[in-house]
Parts: sequence; structure tokens; C-alpha cells
Amino acid sequence: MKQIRAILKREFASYFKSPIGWILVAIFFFVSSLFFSLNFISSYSDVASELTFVQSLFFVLIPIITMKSFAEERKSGTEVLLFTSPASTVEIVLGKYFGALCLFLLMSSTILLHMIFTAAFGGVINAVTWGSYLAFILSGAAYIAIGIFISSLTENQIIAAIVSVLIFIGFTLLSSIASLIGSLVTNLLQYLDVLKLISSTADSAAGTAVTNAINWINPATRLTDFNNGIFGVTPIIFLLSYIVLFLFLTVQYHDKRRWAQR
Amino acid sequence: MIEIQNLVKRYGEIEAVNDISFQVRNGEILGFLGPNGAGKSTTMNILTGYISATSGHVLIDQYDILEQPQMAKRQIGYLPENPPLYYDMTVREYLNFIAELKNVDKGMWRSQLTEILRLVRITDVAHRLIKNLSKGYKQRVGIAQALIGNPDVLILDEPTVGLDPKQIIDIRNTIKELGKNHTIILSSHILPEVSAICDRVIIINHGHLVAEEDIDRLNSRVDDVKNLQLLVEGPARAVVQKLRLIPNVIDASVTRETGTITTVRLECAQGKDIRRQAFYEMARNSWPILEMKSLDPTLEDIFLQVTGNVDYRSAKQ
Amino acid sequence: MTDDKANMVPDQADVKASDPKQDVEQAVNEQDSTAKRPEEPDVQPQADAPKAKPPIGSKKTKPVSAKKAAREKKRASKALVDRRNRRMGRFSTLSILLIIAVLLVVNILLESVVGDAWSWDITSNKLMTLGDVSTQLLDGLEQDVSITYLGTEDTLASSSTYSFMPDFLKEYVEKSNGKVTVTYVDPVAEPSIYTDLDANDVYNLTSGEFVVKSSETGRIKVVTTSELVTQELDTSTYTYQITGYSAESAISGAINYVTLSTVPKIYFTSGHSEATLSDSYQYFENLLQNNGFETADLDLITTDSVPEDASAVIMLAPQTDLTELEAGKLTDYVEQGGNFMFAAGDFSTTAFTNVNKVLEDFNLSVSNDRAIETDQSRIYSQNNTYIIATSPSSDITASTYADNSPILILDAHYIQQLQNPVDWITVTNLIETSDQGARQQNGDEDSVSASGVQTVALMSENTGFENGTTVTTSSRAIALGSASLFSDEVISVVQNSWYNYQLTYNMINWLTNNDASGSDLLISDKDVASYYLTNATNTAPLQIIAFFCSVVIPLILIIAAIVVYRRRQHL
Repeated sequence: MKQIRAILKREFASYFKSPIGWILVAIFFFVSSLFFSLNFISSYSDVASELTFVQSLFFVLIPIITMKSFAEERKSGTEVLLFTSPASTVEIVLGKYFGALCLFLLMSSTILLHMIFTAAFGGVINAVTWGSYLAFILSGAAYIAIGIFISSLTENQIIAAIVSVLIFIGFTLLSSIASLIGSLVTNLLQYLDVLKLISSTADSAAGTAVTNAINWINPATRLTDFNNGIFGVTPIIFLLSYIVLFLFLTVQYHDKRRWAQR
Repeated sequence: MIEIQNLVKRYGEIEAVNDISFQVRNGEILGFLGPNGAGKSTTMNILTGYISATSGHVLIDQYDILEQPQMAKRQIGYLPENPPLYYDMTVREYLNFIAELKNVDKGMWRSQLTEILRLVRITDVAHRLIKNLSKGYKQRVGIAQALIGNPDVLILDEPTVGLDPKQIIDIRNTIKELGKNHTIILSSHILPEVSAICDRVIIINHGHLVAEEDIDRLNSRVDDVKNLQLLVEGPARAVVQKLRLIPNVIDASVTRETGTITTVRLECAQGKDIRRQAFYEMARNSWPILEMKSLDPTLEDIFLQVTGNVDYRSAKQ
Repeated sequence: MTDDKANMVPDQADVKASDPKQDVEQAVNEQDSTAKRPEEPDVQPQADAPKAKPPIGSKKTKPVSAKKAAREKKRASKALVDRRNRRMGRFSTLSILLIIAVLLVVNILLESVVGDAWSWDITSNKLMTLGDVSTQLLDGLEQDVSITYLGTEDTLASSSTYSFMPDFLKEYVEKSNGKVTVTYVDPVAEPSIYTDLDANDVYNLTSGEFVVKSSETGRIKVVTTSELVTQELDTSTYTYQITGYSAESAISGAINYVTLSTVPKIYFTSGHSEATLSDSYQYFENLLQNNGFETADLDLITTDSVPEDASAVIMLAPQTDLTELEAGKLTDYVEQGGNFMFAAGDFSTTAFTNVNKVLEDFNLSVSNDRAIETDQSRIYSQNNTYIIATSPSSDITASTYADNSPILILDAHYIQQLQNPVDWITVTNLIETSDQGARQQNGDEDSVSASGVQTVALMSENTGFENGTTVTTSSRAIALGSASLFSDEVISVVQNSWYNYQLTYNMINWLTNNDASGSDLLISDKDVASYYLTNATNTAPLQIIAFFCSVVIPLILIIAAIVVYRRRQHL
């Protein structure tokens, strides 16, 4: 536990020892506040839609947050320090993860500030707003776990950032091409099924199933319910599973690399 | 204190460490000698639990590094070959972080920090950014880092590499000082360094343990080896020919030739001093000796000495 | 660093296979290497080693056995890894597959067991939850109903206005236990869907529409996206703002309609400059449609009689009276059990003599007096003809009506009850002013009657019409002093908070005897939360905050970045 805290503290502080942390927060503050302010001066404020908007910044901001995490340690050789310390791999990974998460939470506090102003002037801050906020934090947390894992795969932080960006863009694209893939499956089945053994409804059912499956595993689409005002436990568990999976992969990858016999 | 049994580390078909067993006694400074690529760093990385072995046991103070890594790692301060420094931190910030990482008691830490800063002589750079420090200071911060938590065992991988002579002497003195209270394993590819600091030496080559000796014995062997380097103004081939004729000279070879000046290396038989003969021989030919000095034995020489029959050069291939 | 080497192993084996001598050499080497560490405690190469080594000097080594040897050698080298040390290598494909499997199972289990039980509609107006009315409708649903969206789910989910629909439609599927199915068919990909749904191209389907179809009745109802929300032009920004959500009434109404065994039909008279529904009575039109009424025009001059399938005839805001002939046809209709409603339009002094002849059978009469209200607290917009009226409790109002819920009615005719008391005619006051109401006689502002309760709507049931020798069951009539009760002009102002909409609905159901069929469908629009700030009287503080958030704080952060960077740079 103490080791987690030590690593978390160092990680978080390191963002602010270089300009990167300040600038990240400044950018996030600026962009979200711009959206907020343009509405606010005409006495209008819809925080939920602001959250949807700033979520589109994720695929740039989160890779920048996470790219250094393990890649830098590996490059500078400081990871030896961590892995020969009494901290376990799990503690190291958690410390790193929470460090990045804290920066993200700090960035997200912008929105909290906007909520306070909105409430102060009699705007709408209701359960939907909080639901959207939770969804925002959760998907950020899941994306960070993915980014941390990517960062542990390479010692080049630029590569880590680019790969993360591509993956995050992939998620976004996936949600819009999921149905395309589904219909592709349907058409393929119909094409292959020369003898008409399978009914066309079964074909399209298969296509739909593929589409649904893709959307089901896509973290970018799982939380749209929250923005529509439906608070569900299952999407929360799902995103937490995402976090657990990628942190687990990170831990395993490190242990494996240190164990490597080739 | 430290016990290593049948340690093997394979990378695919390559055996980086091949069946090494040795023990380090409490309070001892053990030199870990071997040429570059002999498997020193690999062994140390295994000792400290950074990487795992293919097979074999490592016990640190009875704690197995695999079975009880947390307890074992607590006993160790490790300075890897490249000091693991966060360049974006100041020395103090860095050391504070390591103290937290190693779970050092908060109350004890303040006095311990002062003590460590004094011991490795970095008190006056404590507020500075590690990035801006000289190589020597960085190395010391690395050592300071290893000292945190007052571990019983210090494992130092090539602590003097890349430093200038003055810094090397400083670091060596620091290590000697530390040796009073710690068990130390020190790796090096420089023989004099090991003989200057250590109580005992282990020599490895190509992953194999070649020899294990007390430092006194090693030193006496080293003293036996007396090689000479001569700077002679004369024709290279003739000079070498003449020198070879001197009794007790095993071999003579030209190492450098600039204009009329020839640099020659003389290999002499054990315990024989041939300096006078060399002087007269050259004088007879009117080839003035511009410089003559005895050479420290190289690791190569020691290999020959210690192992006798194992040919260092052929083993290299 | 060594991936290539790993891959090289089989290659080497192949090369060696072609050279038996080398193969032997390799075997010798291998024997050496195993011999070198004979007593490793946890290593068990010995067991495998003999197999791995072809007998030394064996000349008949075949390629196959060489490959096998290489493979076994690889296995042997793997087996050399200390079991204890292997523990650090848990990064096996297996463990990853295992955790993925566990997480998948947990999620799928959770989803299937808990499903939507653990999800809640947190919108303030329960936008995403079906109301009791819809829930009851779906509970009692005995037919399979398909809802087909002509387009992909993505286009719907990604539209800014209708993104709630996919989730919302799922509610129907769940609440109906699968009786309702929702499919998304992109007509671009599958143009055949048009003819599949609507073989005769009656509805002229286009993409972006929802097609609700019952498999049993085969009836179709098309719901367009414009029916899902009510929008209003914001004159300051010239953009449409959503003012309410009507998706539930549209979809539930469509389901109700397509599953009805018979569809009640309401005829609207024409030929007297009546108002058209689609013109200024869209709310009313939606109300009728969503509750399963079919509407049709009725020209009494060209038709011999009122069609038999008429559940009711409504005369909506006419500007001229019926002819005598028409009145006769209508009288014939009501005397055979037909139902009739007269709803006056904008107040005029036009005499509705022939209309009154029809209403006479119900003891009703439309007067030319204009009802006004003198109680200043009971008028709207400072206009004494804009009456905030109430409805006394009656059959219609009993269930849903809270006393004194206001009804806004504009410019209404005073409706008179004829003094012809007979057993078989029951007249009930439907809408009335306060006791400080009055009448402008013939609409003349200067001749005002004494104050008292003025009725602006009456309903009447005549159970005594004779049909040959038998007495038909009830025939009903409503005389409404002003159709403003349910005009768009009024409904858009009072929305659901007033009683107008509900009363209209109850009236129609009463008129058509529809209450007996159990169709009790009234789903109010859901108001949208307004995101306008209510406490912002002055824009100055807003501008300061906006400036502070988007300029000052980022600037401070940037300055901090520079300061920190420069200070630390030289530490």
C-alpha cells in the first residue's frame, strides 16, 4: 500500500515538474471552458453535452498522459529501481495507474467547477449530469489503463502515444463501422451459402449478432446509456473489467519480460 | 549472507550464466571480476530479483529471492550498471522517493538522509536537479540510493565505469568506507580496482565461474606478472628482434609505431626483472629508451595466471 | 533480441538434416551440455535427454528424425527451466485467456441475470421510462408487434435529437416480454424492406421512419421522427429547440392502433369553412391518432347519410351553419345512436340555427352570447374573454381530474341547456366559468349580463331515441363553446400542466363510447429540462466567469508551466 502511494506521488508530481502536466491541464481547461463559456454568456449551460464534447479530446490527451508511464522508465533504466525495490509488480503497476488517473481527475475537476457555476446561476445540475460525469470519468479511467499497457510494451514514448491514439480512434471508428461489419458478415454468409441451407433471416441474425458483439466489447459505446439518463450497474462493471484486464496484462507483461528465457 | 546455487540463465540457445555457485560471507567485500559480456550484470540482476534465472537458487539472508522476494529485496541495495536516476528530480526529492518506496520509517529518515548525504559526499548538491549533475555525482547519487533503508547487502555493478581518475578514487574510498558496515558485491572488469577494494574475488567468463580466490593470493599472483612497456627510438622490427633475445622474455610485440619511435610490450617470465638487460641491449644498439614502465597485469594476464590451462583468447570465441 | 533465434531452430534442423555428420556433432554437443550440469535439483532434463539424442554415430539419420530431434531438443531446453523460476512466467496465453474468460463470464452473467433490473432512469422527467399507460398496454399485448426503423441504429443513435430512441425502444421490447420487436433495416442496403412492410405502397415509406406493424391485424402505423419530439423555433438563435418529448405517446399510440380489432372512425364535417386538423389542431390530431382513432372527412351534401362506421361526427370550428338538409341527415344519424360534437371556432355572431336543431335532441343549444370572466384572478393575459375555467366533476372528469385544475378557453360561446327536462336526456356541465362569469349578449361588449356561472361546454346523453320499436342505447353529444380548448395555440402554451389536453381526451373517449373498450391511452408529452440559467438576471457576472474559466485559469497554468520549467532547469 505504501509503495503504491510512493509511486503514485512521484508519478503525479513528475507531471508537474516538467511543463507537460501544466500544459495538459491548461489545454483541457481551455477547451472545455470555451465550450462552457460560449453557452454560459447567453445564460445557457448544459454540462452533460459539454462532457460528451470534451470526451472527444480523450484520444489525444490520454495518450499524452500515459505515454511516459513505463516507456520512460524502461528507456532510462529506472525500472530496475522499481522492480528491485520491495514493491511487487502489482503495486508498481497500480501506483503508475493511479498516478496517471490522478492527473486525469485533476483535469476533470474543470467540469466540476463549471457545474458549480451552473448550479449557482440556477442552471440544470441533475442526476443525468452526474451520470454523464461518472461515465466520463469511467471511460477516461478505462482508456488510461489501456494507455498504461501500451506504454509498457515499448521504450519509445512516441510510439506508445501513437499506438494509443490509433487504438482510441479505432474504438470510435469501430462504433460506426460495427454495423458495416455486421452486414458484411450477412452478405458473406449469403454469398457462401450457395445451397441456401441457411435461411436469409439467420444470415442477417448472424450479422446483427456480430454488430452487437462488437458494440458490446467497445468501451466507447457502452456508456452512451449514461448520457441518455440511464444509470446502469452493468456498464460500470464492464468498464471496471476493462481496467482490471489491462492492468493485469501490464503486470503479466512485466513479469514475463523479466522472466524471459530468450 | 548470500548464497547462490547452480545459477543458470539462458537466453534461447545462449547461456548467459552457466551453473554458477558461490557464497558471500557476512561483512565481506566480494569482487566480481570478468570481461564485458561475461555475465556479471545478468548475475547481479538475478541476485536482486530484477530478472529471473532459468534455474538455480538465490538466497539473501536465508530469504529466497523467488519465494520471498519482498523480504529478500529489503536486504539489498542495488546500483545497476546504469544508475537508475530520475533526471527530472532533485537529489533530495529522488532520495525521499526511494525512502518511501523502500518503506523507510519516517522518523528515522531525516537523520538517515543526512548521514547518507555525508557518506557519499553529495550534501552540497542535494538541492540540485539530477540531470544537471556531473557523471561522478550521478554515480554517487546512485550509490546513495542503494544505501537507503540501510540494507545489509550492497550490490554494485561497475560503480566506477565512465568516471575520471579522481572520481574513481573518490568512489573507491566511499565503497571501502561502506564495506565496514555492509556486505558488498562489486562487479568490475578492472583488476586493480578489485584488488584495491575487495577481500575476495570471483572471476567469471562466458557465464562460467573460472576462479574464486582471496585477494591476497590474487595479488601475489598479480605481483608475479611483470610486463614492461618500452618507448624506443629505433626500427621496429630490429628492436623487437633484439628484445626477444634477452633471457626470460617470453614475448615482445609492437603495439604502436610513430615515425622512428616504437612502442613495445614485453612479456616476462614470472618473478624475473629484465629491465637492466633491456636497457643495456638498447643502449648497445644506440636506440635510446625514451620511456620504460612496468604494466599492470591485464585481466587477460590474470586469466592466464589463475586458470593456467584455460586459454582466455580462445575462450572468447 | 532473440525472437529470430527462436525461429531459427527449425531451420537449423533442416539444414542439419541434409548433413548427417553435423547432426551427429550436434548430438555430441548436446550430450556435453547436459553432462555439464548433472545434479541440478529441480531440473529434469535427464528424462527427456535420451530421447532427444539420436544414438551417436547413427548414420541412417533421416530428415524426419532430425526435425523430431530439433523439436525435442527445444522441448528439453524448455524443460530445463526451473519449476520455481517458471512461476515468474505466468504470462502465459492461458492465464490471459483465463482472465478474459472470467471477466466475460462475469459480465455476461451479470447482464443476463441482472439485466436492466440494475439500471435506473435518472432523467428528471423519466424520459427513458415508459409510463403506466404504456406499461399496461404492453402487459396486455397479445399480438406480436414489430417496430422497424428504416435506417441503421447508428444513424439514429448518433443524431443529436433522436439519440435516445434506440434505448427507448429497448424499453418496449423488455416491457412487452418480447412481444414487441425492434429491427433496424437500412433501406439503402435492403431496398426490399419497403415492399416487405408495405406491399401496395400505401404509406409511401421513406428512410428515417418508424414502421409499427402488427403481425395479426397486418395494420401499419408510420411514425415519423417529427412526432417524437415537439420543437419550437427559438427566435433569438433561429434554431429549433426541443420543448418536449412525445415519443412515448407516438409509439405506444401506434402499437395501440395497429393492435385494435376494430378502429373507431371519426368523421369531420366539411363544407362550412371548418378548421382542418393538420392546420391548427395538430395536437388534437395526434391525440386522436395515438389513441387509435381513424379520421375522415364527411361532406354531408354529397353523401346520402352518415357512414355506418362513424363512431362520431365532429363539426370543428365552422364559420357557417349547416344547411337544413345536412342537419336532417345528422339528426337521422344521432337518432340511430350516432354521436355528435360541435366545437365552435373563433367567436362570431353567425347563428347556428340548423346545428341547434340537431342539438335540440340533446337539450343543447349554442348561443350567440360570448362568455366572459370578471374575476381578475380567473382570466389569462388580462383579457376577460380568455377564461381560466374549471370542469365540475362528472363521469368524464372523475378519475383523473383534480378539482380546480385550470382549463384555458378563449372567446367561447355560451352554451345553453334547453329547459325541456325529460328522463332520457342527461345534460352535464362540462366547462364553466367561476361564479363571477358573465355573458356579452350577441358578443356586444356593452351589454353584459348579470354575473353568475356561465357554461361554455355541455355534454348530453340521450337514451331515448326510438329506432322503429326498440330503444337504442345511448347517443351522445357535446357542445363546446370554443375549439380553443384543444387548439395548437392554447395547448402549446398550457402544455400538460393545465387540464385542456386531458379533458379533450376524456371527452372524445366519452363521445365515442371508447371507455368501454378499455383503451385508456393518454400519454402526456414529457417536458424537456430547460438548460437556461434561471438566476441569471444580469449577464455581467456570467461574462466574468466565462472569461475567468476560459482565459484566466489556462493562462495562469501556462505561466506556472513556464515558471516551474525555468526554475527547475537551473537547479
